[in-house]
Parts: sequence; C-alpha cells; structure tokens
Amino acid sequence: MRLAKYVGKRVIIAFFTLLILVSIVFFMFRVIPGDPVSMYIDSGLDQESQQLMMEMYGLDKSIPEQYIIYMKGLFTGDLGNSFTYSKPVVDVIGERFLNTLVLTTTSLIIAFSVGIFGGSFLAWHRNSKIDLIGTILALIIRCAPVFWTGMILLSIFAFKLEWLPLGGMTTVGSDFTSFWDKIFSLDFLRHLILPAITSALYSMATPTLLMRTSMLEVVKEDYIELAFAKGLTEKQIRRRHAMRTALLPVVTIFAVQAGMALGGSVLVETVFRWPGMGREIVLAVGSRDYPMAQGAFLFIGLATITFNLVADILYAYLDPRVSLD
Amino acid sequence: MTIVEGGRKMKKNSKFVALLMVLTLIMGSLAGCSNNTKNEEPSIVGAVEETEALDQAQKVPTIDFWIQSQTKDPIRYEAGLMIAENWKKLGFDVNVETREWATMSAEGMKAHEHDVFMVKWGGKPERVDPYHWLYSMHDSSEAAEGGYNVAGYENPVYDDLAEAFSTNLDMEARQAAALEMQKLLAQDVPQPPMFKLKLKNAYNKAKFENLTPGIGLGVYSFWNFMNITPITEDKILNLGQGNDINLLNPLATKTGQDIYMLKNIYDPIVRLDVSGEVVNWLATEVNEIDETTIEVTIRDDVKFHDGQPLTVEDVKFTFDFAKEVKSPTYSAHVRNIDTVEITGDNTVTFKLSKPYAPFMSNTLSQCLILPKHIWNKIYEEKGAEGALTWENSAPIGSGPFIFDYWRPNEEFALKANKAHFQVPKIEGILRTPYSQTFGIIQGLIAGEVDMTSYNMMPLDLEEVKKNEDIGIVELPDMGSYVIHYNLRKAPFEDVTARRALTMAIPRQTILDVVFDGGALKTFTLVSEDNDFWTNPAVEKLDFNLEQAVAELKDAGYKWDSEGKLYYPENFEAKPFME
Repeated sequence: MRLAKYVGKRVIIAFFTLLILVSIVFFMFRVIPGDPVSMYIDSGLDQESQQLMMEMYGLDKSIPEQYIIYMKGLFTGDLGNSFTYSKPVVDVIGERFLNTLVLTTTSLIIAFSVGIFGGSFLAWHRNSKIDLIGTILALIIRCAPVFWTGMILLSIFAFKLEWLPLGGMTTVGSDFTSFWDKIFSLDFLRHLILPAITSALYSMATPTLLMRTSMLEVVKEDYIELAFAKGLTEKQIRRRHAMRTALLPVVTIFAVQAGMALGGSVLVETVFRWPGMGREIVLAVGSRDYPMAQGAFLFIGLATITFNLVADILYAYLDPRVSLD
Repeated sequence: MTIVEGGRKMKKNSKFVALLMVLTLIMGSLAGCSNNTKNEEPSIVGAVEETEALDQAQKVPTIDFWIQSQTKDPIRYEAGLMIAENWKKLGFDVNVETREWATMSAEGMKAHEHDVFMVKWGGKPERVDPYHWLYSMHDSSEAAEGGYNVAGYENPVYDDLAEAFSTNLDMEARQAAALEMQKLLAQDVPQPPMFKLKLKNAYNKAKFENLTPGIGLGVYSFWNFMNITPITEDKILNLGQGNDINLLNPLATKTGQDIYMLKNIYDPIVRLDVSGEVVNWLATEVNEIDETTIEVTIRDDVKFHDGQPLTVEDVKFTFDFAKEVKSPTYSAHVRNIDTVEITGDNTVTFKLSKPYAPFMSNTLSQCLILPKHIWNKIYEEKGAEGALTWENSAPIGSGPFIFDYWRPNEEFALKANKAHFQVPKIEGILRTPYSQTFGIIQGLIAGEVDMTSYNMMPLDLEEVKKNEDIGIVELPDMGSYVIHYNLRKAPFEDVTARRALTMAIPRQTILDVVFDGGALKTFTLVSEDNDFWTNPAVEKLDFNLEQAVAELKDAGYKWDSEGKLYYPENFEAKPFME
C-alpha cells in the first residue's frame, strides 16, 4: 500500500515535471534566433514563398496561440507534424527509437557486464597495482569524449585494418524483409560492434567504480569472514556471497544510466551514421524543426524520468532498509 | 551507504573533467591574447594624418562582422578573420562574431539586420539566366524583409535597367542591360562577389564512364543521371551525400537535395541542358505567340509510373493546383501566370499577367507536372493544407526514374523507368547520407560510394589518391562567395567606405592560404564561365590598401593618432558612384 501511494505521488510529480519541460522547450525554440524557413533563402525561397511556408507550418500565428494549439494536441496524443518530413512526429520517433534502443541496450549490456565483473575484480585486488591501473584507466576512458573515442576506433578498425564497416546500420543496398530480420543479420552485427563499444566504453566506468566501492564495503562484513571460516573457496565467496550483495546499487544505477544513455546517443549516432533518435535531434535542432525537436526532447525526458522512477522503486524493493518516506 | 560512496567516485571523476576544462580555458585565453597583440599592430594609415581634437560623434561606427563557426565552414571562418584584420588596418573598428547558420540567415538573409556577413551562393542551372543575380538580388522591389536584395541596394538608374532586363523578350536588349547592370554593381559594390570555386567532383571511373556534368550542379545534374554508363555488372549508381533528403512533396519541399531527386521522378515541360539552355522535354513545341501568351504542345506518349497517361489535363491541373493550394515551392514560378487553358488535344496556352523574360528557363523548367488523378483525390480528402503537408512517401511521377524505397537516414533508392521516352543507362540510383564528408571520402576509397557531388578539397584529393579507380572531374562554379554589406546602415551607406572595404579584402592571400589554390577571384556575380551574360570588362576592385586610403582621403575621411577612422565634416553619405 505504501508503495502504491509512493508511486502515485511520484507519477504526479513526474507529470508536472514533464509539463514544465515541454513548455520550456516550446518557448526556448521560439526565443532562440532562426526559423525553419529563412535558412533556405539562398537556395531559392523568395519572399512570398517564405510567407506561404510559415503559414503552412502555422508559424504565422502568435506564440501564445501556437502554444495553446500545441498543448491541446499534446493532451490528445498529437505531437504535431515534423516540418522536415511532413509526417506525424510520433511516427518519426517510432522509427528512429527502435534503432536507438538496439544500440543502447547492446552497449549497456556490454558496459554492465564488464563493469560488474571488472569492478569486483578490482575490489578483490584492492590496493594492488592492478586496482590502481584499472581505476585510473576507467576514469580516463570515462573522460574521453565519445566522438573522439569513436573516431579513434573508426580509424583503427575501419580504415587501417578494414575489419569493420565505416558506419550506418547495414551495408548500402542490402534488403531486409522486416526489422527483426535486419537486426539478427550478420551484416547488422558487424555494423553494431563499433558504435556499441564506443558508447559502452563511455558508460562502463560508472558501474565499474560503483561495483568496486560497493564490493569494498561488503568484504568488510562479518558474514564474508564467516564464509572464509567455513572454508569456502575464494571464488565461491566472491561470486556467491560478496558480489550478490554488492550488486544492489549497481542494479539501480542501471536504470538511471539507461535514461542517460538515450540522451547520450546523440554523439555516437552522429559519428557512426546510426539512424536513431540522437541523430534526429541534431538534425531537428539544426533545421529548426520545432515539432520534431520538441517531440524528441519530450520523449527523452519521459524516458529519463521513468527510468529514475523505476530505479527508486527497484531500490526500495531490493533493499528493505530503504524507507519510502 | 554504498550509493554515497559511489557518488564520491563520481565527484572525483568530475574533478578530472573540471581540470581538463580549466586547462582548455587557459589554452584558449592564451590563444586569445596572442590574437589581441596582433590586432594592436599599427595600422598603415596611422602615419597618414595626425588629428587631435576630433569630434567623437564623427567616429566611424564599429562594424559587426558575422562569420560562421569553423566546424561549419572553415573557409568562411578563416577568410572572415583575414578580411577583418585588413579592415582594421584601414582604421575601421571590427567586431568579429561567430554565428550558427540558422541564426545568421534569420537575422541577416531574412531580416536584413546585419552589418556584414558572407554567404556562398549556389550556381544552380536556373540561375544561368542571371535573373536571380541581377534582378532579384539588386532590384529595389526585393529590398524589403525576406527579399533577395539583402544589401538594400536601391539605385533608380539600376532599377530602370532591371525593368528592361526582366520584361524584354529580345535577348540582345536583355544582354545589353545585363552588361550595364554588372558594370554599376562592380563600381557601387553593394554586395561584391569575391571567389568562385574550382569545383572538383569524384567518381569511380572503373565502374562508370560517360560522366556528363551539367552547369551549376556538376555530377548532380539530371543529364549525368541519364547518361552515366556502367562498365561492370554493377549497374546501380551509389551516391554519397552529406545529408539525407527530407520530403518528397514537390509542392512543399524547400531543399535543393529533395528537388534534384524529384526532378528524376517527375518531368517538367522543358529542361535546362548541360550548359543551361532550354530544351524541350515533355513539350514538343513551345511558341511565344506574343509577350504574354505562350503556347505549349506536349508529347502524347508519356505515362505516369502507375500506368495512367500524362495529358494536357495534368499540365493545366498542376499550375492551377499549385496556385490554389498556395504552394511555397511553386509560388515564385506561377505568380506571373494569369490562366492556363487547354487549347487542343495536346496543347495548353499560358497567359501571363505581365511579360516575364525567364518564363521558360525559370517557370516551365522548374514546375514538375503532377498526376491529376492522385493529387486531386488528396485535395478532396484533405483540402489545400492537407495537400501541402502530405508526405507523398511513394511519389508517382512520369520521370525516367521510379521511386523504389526510402529508409530515412539510411538510404534512398530509385530504379530506371524502362518505359520512358528517354531511358537512363544505369539501372538505378542508391543515395546514402553520410553525416560527415570524412565518411564520403572513406566510402569512395573503399568502393562503397561511386560518385559524390561534394566539392573535393585539396586534402581530400590527396586522400582519394589511395584508390586508383577514383576519377576527378573539374567544373566551373556558377555561384560565388559573396560579402553582404548592409546599405541601410553606416558606414555601408557610403559608396566610398564600401569601395575601401572591398579593396581591403586580401583576395590573393585568401586564395593561397584558405583555398589552397582551389578557387579563383571573381568580380561579377554572373560567372565568367557564363559566356553570353557575363561582363568581363567590369571594374575590378582587387586588394589595394593604398588606393583604399586614397579614396577615403579624397572623400574627406580622417584618421586620429591611433589610426581610427572619422567621417568628414558635414558628411553626407553618397550611395552610388554616379
């Protein structure tokens, strides 16, 4: 019951957070200079055409009017039409989101597998040289900008060694019958490797360091000492007793990281020509496609808030010591 | 508890980031300092005149120079800095500001609120008839907000010539006016052109031959898609471009990239050939009956991709419909059309509201004929606004290429229309958007890209040498880098100041340093390669600081002891030379 009440409260807060986010994004795009029309003047949009185009986009109306229209649409599930594609924003996001999801899921799985085992390994060998090197390495990789790591990987594995493709999601010209057919093809996997590793490298440090710290706490506990006293092997103690307990905060940070990874897909997708949400945001902002950009921000906001909520609930559920008040 | 520990680690991590940021800032400010010291070099006119007690109100106002960020366009950025440097030598205060294109275009190109900025105007085939360069960009009727006359040049003598140029159907008379107009522009320099590129496009010559680049568009020309011939079994042309196409609705698209692909899918009445001349396409005959009446006879053997025949009904419908729904893309073309009447089995007659000289080259060649049976249905279902915002995701045209599929941000495919009256030599086009030019170049080398309309820079040319199969084709640039002054503002309202500023553009240095020999100087907007229309005898205000100082001095401009520029006493701006 307490949980239900807590979730209810959080959902209401989340709703208002989103409402504020949507409004800020709406006005922000209209306040910053530039519009979706004038950047095409040099390619041949004359005075009258610009006017007609603004009317077509509904931008000839006053900003409060536009806001009311937008909010009305929002509450009926209509995010408007993208200026660039003349398609409902929801459809465009739908197409791109699956692509982003495949990439972020893969990279998170890599990041957390390496992070959990790597972190516990470092903690087990605490204060050794390996621990020191590992920790520093994790920090350095975490600080390297994603586009930089991406370029370096590209230049090694795609240009020099020619093992992997330069970018994109499939080889140019390949034909697939469905989305699932595509993502389970060997060709797709080859394209997935570099972007997934790049973004995994970036998100790897957090679970690694968190796991390490968490393990350090756990190994001090009496029951670990007891396990040693029972004569269990070191491997058994590490895997069965220490890691399980230490995993708790890592599980919850997973949800938070998932939300962040969606937002962080912008750079990876641009470097690797991945047709996902992140690249769409860059294009939408650059071309002042207001409905598209608003929709994308709303979507990422929604995802982040949801994942945070899940993290909190998960934590409370997994660790009875945490109170919900 | 453990979470807190983790948080501490995160903080440690962010400290590292902060350290890096501080380092970057220090480096940045060091670079900034060295820049500043350079700016304080004595200007060349410092010694010219020593004037104390100058009225501060008479000081020439600071120029805000907008340039694009280096990542967006390194050429405009570097060239901009070098120009500003030289303007300072003349005694002008210059404030260089880096801006994003969307901002610059909204405030400069559209609102005309700039002081000065630079743009690369593209030399499209429909600009071979210099209506755009000479009429749109300089006639006073275009000087209002949103108009093409970005500089705000309003010269009555010029306007008279422009009127003759745009309405006269006699080519000799139009040419004479055009030459005279270029002469005025070259001496009044409202928005002088500076450079045109030596365009270089790359293609895979082991896989394709018979490359047919067209004026203005290079390898992206319609005629190249028609004529390029496969040598190997791979008969699909892989195009590597910077951006994806956006929208396939011919009535509402705004980007050139969309339009070039739509021109393969749909047919216009006439087309502009590789040198920009009008040739019949859907039309078998075009007759100018009088100044405002044009009769067009069309072919009777054309079918849309869904099998329906293309008739005069479709032609009439297209023009009426574009007007009815207020299509932004067609509006400039159909504005001067009063009526379109069917006057025979295969003939339509256009009545114009006033004589419009480039009717064939700018209207008939740009308006793509739509199938009435499809668009009328959309109109009945969705109304005018619905037709404009319709996605048209599987376009049905009559052109030599048929739409195959489009996976946004991945690839776009067309296949050859074997039933067309002119069949392309290739089996299809596959267009891939690369988000960076670096991807296009590597794609070329790897054999993934067969052709690109991206202009190869000197470094790229070095890079593609890795693959012997890559051929380079050189093309004349019909557009140019233009520096847009704003004549609505001081100091640009005065022709002497404009001429001096223009003579302080270090053209040769920029060519050598920034373009690395990949461009040429130009002094008229109508490209020197456009033989019929260009005026090679215009005044050429090349880099000459002494001359600039002399002209300023003659007009009474003064310098203070620091070399800063002041207006003459009782100054009255002189807008034009004559």
